[in-house]
Amino acid sequence: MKNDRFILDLFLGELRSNCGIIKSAFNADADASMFENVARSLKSSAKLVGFVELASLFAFLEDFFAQKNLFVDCDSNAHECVKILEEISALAPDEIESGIDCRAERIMSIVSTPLLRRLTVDVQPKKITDENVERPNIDVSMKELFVVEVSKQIEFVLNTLVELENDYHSKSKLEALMRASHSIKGASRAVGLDSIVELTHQMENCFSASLNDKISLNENSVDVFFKCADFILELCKNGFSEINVLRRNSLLKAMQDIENSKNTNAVIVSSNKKENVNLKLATVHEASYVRIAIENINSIMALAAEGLIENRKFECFKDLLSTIKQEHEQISNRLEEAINMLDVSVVESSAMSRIEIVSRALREQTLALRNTIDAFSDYARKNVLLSSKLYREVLESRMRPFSDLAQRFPKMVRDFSRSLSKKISFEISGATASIDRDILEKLDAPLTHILRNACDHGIELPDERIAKNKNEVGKITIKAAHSAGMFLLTISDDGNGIDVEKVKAKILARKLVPEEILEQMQEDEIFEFLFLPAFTTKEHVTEISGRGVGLDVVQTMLREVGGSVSVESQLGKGCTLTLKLPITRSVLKSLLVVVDSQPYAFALSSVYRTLMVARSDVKTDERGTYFLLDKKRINLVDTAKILGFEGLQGWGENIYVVVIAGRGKFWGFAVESLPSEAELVVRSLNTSLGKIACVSSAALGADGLPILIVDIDDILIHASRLYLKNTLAKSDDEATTNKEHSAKILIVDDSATVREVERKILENNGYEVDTAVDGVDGWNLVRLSKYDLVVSDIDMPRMTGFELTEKIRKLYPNLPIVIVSYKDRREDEQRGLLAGANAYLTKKSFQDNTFVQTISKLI
Amino acid sequence: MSADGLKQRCWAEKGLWGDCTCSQLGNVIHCRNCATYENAATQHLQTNVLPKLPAVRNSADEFKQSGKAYFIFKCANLYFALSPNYVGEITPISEVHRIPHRSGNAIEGISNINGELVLVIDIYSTFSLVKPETENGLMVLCKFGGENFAFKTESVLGVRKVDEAKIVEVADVSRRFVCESFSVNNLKNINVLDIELLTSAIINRRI
Repeated sequence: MKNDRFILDLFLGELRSNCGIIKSAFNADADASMFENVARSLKSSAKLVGFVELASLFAFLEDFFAQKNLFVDCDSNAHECVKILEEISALAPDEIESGIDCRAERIMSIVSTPLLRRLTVDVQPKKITDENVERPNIDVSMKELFVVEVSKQIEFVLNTLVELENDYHSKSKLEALMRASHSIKGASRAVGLDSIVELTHQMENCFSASLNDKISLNENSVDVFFKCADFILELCKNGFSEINVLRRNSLLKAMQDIENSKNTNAVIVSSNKKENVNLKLATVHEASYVRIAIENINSIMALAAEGLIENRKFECFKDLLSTIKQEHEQISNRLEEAINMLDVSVVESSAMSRIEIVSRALREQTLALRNTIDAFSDYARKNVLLSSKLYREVLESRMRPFSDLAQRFPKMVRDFSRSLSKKISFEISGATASIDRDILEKLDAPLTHILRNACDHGIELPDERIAKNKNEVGKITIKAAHSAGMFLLTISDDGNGIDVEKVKAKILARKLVPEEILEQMQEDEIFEFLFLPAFTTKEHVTEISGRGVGLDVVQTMLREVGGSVSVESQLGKGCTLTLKLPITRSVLKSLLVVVDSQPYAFALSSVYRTLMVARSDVKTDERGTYFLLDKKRINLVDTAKILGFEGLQGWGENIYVVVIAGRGKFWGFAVESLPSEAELVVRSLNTSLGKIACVSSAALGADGLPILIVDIDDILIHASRLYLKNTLAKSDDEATTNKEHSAKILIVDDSATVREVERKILENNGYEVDTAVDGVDGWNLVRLSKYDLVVSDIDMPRMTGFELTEKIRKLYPNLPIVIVSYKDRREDEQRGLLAGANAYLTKKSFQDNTFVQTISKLI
Repeated sequence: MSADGLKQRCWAEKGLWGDCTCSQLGNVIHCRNCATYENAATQHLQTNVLPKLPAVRNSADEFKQSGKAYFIFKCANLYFALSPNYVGEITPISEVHRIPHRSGNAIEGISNINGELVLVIDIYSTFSLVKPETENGLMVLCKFGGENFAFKTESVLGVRKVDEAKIVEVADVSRRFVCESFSVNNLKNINVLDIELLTSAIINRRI
């Protein structure tokens, strides 16, 4: 079956999500039946997309897990399977086929080995050493701490090694490296990892020897240290579950040779001539850290925000008490007046004295009330202050300096430049600029792609640069800064620049835009095509770049976080990409409006203008309702109607409008109130609701009422549709759709790939299709909607296909049910038909027309 | 404390809300500072809130009985039940923000309950019931499938144990979102909500 990109993406997604699950199977208390199901499901998907070798691998794992509840740690074939799956998971969709081909031999050697006959084994896994692989048994209570500490130290080693390349004799760098290796050695000793102790001890020896001028380090020796550090970093990533002994030994030997100065290719390099990678990171004050789940931080933030809102209500109470105090004072004064008006001669003296007592008591109470109000006011103010501080601190906890991400780039650029035989100088400035950790995490892939492009496409080879009268060392810089409430990231290189003519040629070759329109486009509009998926001007794909994937990734990420990118380039001189990102997505500077009597918020960064428009300025033409602002046409829409509510009954005398630019036009959204600004803490909505049209998220207002935050992209799309619909209203009303009602089919399968393949087949044959992820989901959907036919798998979590069939049969005796499974045994077919299915097919039926024919006969 | 005072609501007769002839006024200045008034208030708050309803108040004996426990509440003229495992809290009704393109049928909107934005399901619309004119009822906060949701009710009758033999499965397709039914004392046809189906309907946008 020829696979399209979408199916491959789906399969890869399924593989990635299940890989982690399978890895956790090698625990003594794991329930093997669950993993058997996962392996079976993946086997189905692999067969469906035509990856026969991979299907065999999953079949092997399925058999492995089928030996229920017996644990055998020494089954290295099963471990090797998992390793292969991890390698394949790391590939891009268009690399899967070739990736599987490369590994076919390994896969076949595993699946052709008979499965180890299981024996009764100890529940606790033992430390097993193979010839080539060591599987240490680190105390679980220490492991996480150990991995975190070693990761931190090894990142430091990698960065310092990069700096050491500027000056191999730098004492401060050598000392720092020695200390870091020593720390890793100590930590490894504490958890009993002798092999790593030996390795890091040797590394420490080398640095010490260099520090004492016993040896001279050079490019080659530093390369060995880099390899050693990378090796330890990989171990950190896989949690030290497996150590490749051969590799460790070769690194150990290499470092021993360095210590004994057997590195005959040594060339003593003077300090600052050759390619240098300057990492100008400001030192961030070393703080101690704790690990805390993101969910906890989000909960704390929500509570801090709620606390602030509640504490602000003290102000209302204070005002109320002040009002009561004023009334007291008035009553007291009136009483005084009344007393003064009394004729003392006619009033009994005891009554008089009682009145005076009451009057005095009232005055005292009023004074007491005033004092209490003052104290309360003080308390309220302090509370609000504390709440605000807490709130700001919690927000701050989400922020990380850019250096957290940037610190690995110098080594990455160094590696790229080595592999491309180029000389590249790399600088980072503004690394202390802080940004939300979520956004920082998302920046990793895009920045990697941009730097790859800069190294590969941008910077020329040294000879080429000299021929162009440029410095043979190319320069790449990253600048990070805060500007106008946004995080600005500028990545520049002094390389080739972008050849606009080549881009234009590619645009025409792909028929993206007619030539006459292309000629009228500005350069920045042409550069936007670079961000399209699979758009590349490269003739050849290298290991580093050229597929046209990178900038698409950048664009996707930026759209996701609400950022933007712009490109400037000069052919022959260089290229600059500027990324604009929100500093945090947790807090949004917004414009509050009222729509249909309820509060909504627009992101302030997307608002062009707010104004009040007189009805007399509103015009209508064949394109729709609009007004002019600075000679620009602003299409006017009723926000309430766009949100699906009744909307304004005609335009008022004055209309409050929020103007937003988008989709090549200006849009004026009519709202009910004068907008005001607010900073809102963004909260996600209940996931059961899925994506809500025109709404991205929510927040709580200062009064505690929910506010919905408008999704700008979505509302612009809806505005366009509504505008067009209103314009074509007459013709729409007259047009009648005579579309024949297509039969509706429900597909129930726990494999995303299988569901999608079945859906495509059926939709291509004119059916309307819904899908369910397991038996229970299918049962719910059958009861909620009317279907003409149900297609179901057998083995699914929560409810099998047989159980589902029986339940459906009781409720809907006449609803056709087709079971589709990879099980082709006679007894499974009989069981399916006995449960009430009308037909039983195997998944091979997708390859010929049996599947479609069966369904069309039954409907 | 004066027993007479408690019985006769002295504050409305001799006190500040009456003719101000009470001998205690000189000392206490205001009725609310008086022990009689305070005790009357305490007693009032401790009386049973719903004395006229059928005996669904839990007694100690009831807790010892076997059976399945249900949380029972009332909307319009229908009684509904839910497993108490799903029920978290009962709060006063709070303002609900409608959701564009979703509010109107079973979904009422979202509301701020204890600082959290909670989805509010409209039981009245789901079961085509007449909504009360004023919102004096309660909000029941529930949790299912890892998500919180809430719904409005006019009154809460409490948690009741029901003999499993009296619980009838409802297979009638027309009674969507009701999976079981039972009667207890003089309350007939208490509908057990099918929360699984209701949340599935919301997730799959069937309502």
